[in-house]
Amino acid sequence: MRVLVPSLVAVWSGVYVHVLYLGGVVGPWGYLAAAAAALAALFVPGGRRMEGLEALEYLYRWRRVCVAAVPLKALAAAAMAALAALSVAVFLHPPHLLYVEVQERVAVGNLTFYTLRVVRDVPGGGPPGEGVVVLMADGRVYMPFLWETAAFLALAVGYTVAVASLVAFWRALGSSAEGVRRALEFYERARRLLT
Amino acid sequence: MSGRGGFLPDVYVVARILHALMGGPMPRSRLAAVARVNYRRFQEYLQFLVERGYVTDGEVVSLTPKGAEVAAELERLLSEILGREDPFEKRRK
Repeated sequence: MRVLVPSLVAVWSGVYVHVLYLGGVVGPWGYLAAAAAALAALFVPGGRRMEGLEALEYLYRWRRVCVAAVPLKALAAAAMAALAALSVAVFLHPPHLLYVEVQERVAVGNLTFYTLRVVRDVPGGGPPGEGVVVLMADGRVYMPFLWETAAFLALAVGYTVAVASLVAFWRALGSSAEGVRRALEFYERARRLLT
Repeated sequence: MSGRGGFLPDVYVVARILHALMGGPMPRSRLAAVARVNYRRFQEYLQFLVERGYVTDGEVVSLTPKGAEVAAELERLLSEILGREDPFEKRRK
């Protein structure tokens, strides 16, 4: 249960770090930090052993996800492993981005000539000369498709949806179990009353 | 809860019959429909309830004071159990 919140924070931090990298705010080491956060989330200390009222209170607070704890833990482990692997892969081969701004357009006949200016060069891990051109024109940034962005987003969205579905499923299951428990209680007490 | 000759009445059927009779005496056929069992089975239930002193069987079936007491107690039990807050629904309110 303890891994739930840190793991959700970790997957969205991965997306955030990636966006910061694309913006040139952090270097490739940001991905290494994301990988470290993923591993840290996975190995959150189990805490001390609880007993008596404290244990009951803990179970009560987390009652909606208690039975789903094992699949949630497995899901979190898989997501954190994927995040760590993705972050390390992107750290080793970060995308090379070249931000190019369109400064001037001159039309000659049916041809248009553009004056371009390189605004920022975010060095990547690929071979020299290989990179992705990000076009900036009329105050808008045209970011091309990057598999790294798609991967980080897919991981974050997929994991969040999976966790939410699992928790919702357990909630429905718990409510139905409560109904069955009451039906059994009524049966037992009515049986005692009628005998 | 065991009846005569191996007849094991279903608590829910008995509760349904007693609950229906709380509204007043009823003819056998109508009560059998309320009990949702076949007529032969219904007669076993009726005999069981008469033997226990919960109902009287004449032209119509009606509750005895003892039966009325048990029926009221069942109603109270039902209200208590159904009226309890569902811990899984608590935060939705």
